[in-house]
Amino acid sequence: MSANLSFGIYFIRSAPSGTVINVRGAGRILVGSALDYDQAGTQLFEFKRFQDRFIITNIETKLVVDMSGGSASPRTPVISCEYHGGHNQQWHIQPHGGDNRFLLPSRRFWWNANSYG
Amino acid sequence: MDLAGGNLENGTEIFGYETHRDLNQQWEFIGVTEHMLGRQIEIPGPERVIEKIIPGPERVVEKVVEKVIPGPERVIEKIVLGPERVVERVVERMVPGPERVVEKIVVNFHDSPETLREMRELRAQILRALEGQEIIPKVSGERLGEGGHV
Repeated sequence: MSANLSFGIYFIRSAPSGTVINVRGAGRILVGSALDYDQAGTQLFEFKRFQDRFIITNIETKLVVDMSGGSASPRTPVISCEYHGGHNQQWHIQPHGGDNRFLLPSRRFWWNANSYG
Repeated sequence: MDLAGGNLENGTEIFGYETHRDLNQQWEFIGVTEHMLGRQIEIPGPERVIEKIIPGPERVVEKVVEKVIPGPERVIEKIVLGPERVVERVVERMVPGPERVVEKIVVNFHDSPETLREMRELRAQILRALEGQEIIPKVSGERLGEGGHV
């Protein structure tokens, strides 16, 4: 868990591509947009601490980042939807390397993440 | 969270996947508090221009333009562009005499037909004053064009 990251609003940028995550209404979360301060609503996410995990909410749509259907299977789409408090809407933040990079395992995937990590 | 197949193209979907720690599972957080909210940029140029982005439920971009008008008096025109356009003009004038007297006039305008008319009138007064033609009168509540007076 990152000691530095607490409550706050962040862009989430993919390390290899340099582009950020954005939300287009309920459903799909995509990566590939250039960071844009003027159109930032769909690119900005509020991180709210919940025990040792985070709820990640898009500030424009108010929808949260969610593992679709609560599935723990590989290749489960990550979507945005209404908050319901399930494990599939809770995310761990693990520092990776020294370059301010993080892994974002789902609480729903946590056992897998530890097994494979 | 995993970029499907390590694909970096625009519009790539994100999936859950076993943790393997490769690049396509690594994410960076760009803090808004550092980079956006309260962001203040000074734009280089002959005028001092500051762009500020103010945090809040509504995103507000405020642009402040400060211009020092050269002349015998120190005149600073400050234009704040925000939800409302506000023009503030500060005129500082040293009054000659045995004591040091600084006369300072600060006028704020908000966009409206009335205030724009006032602004034009005051601008004309200041320009005349700067040319040494007359003294700047105090701004009163009396407005031109009202009560049958022009």
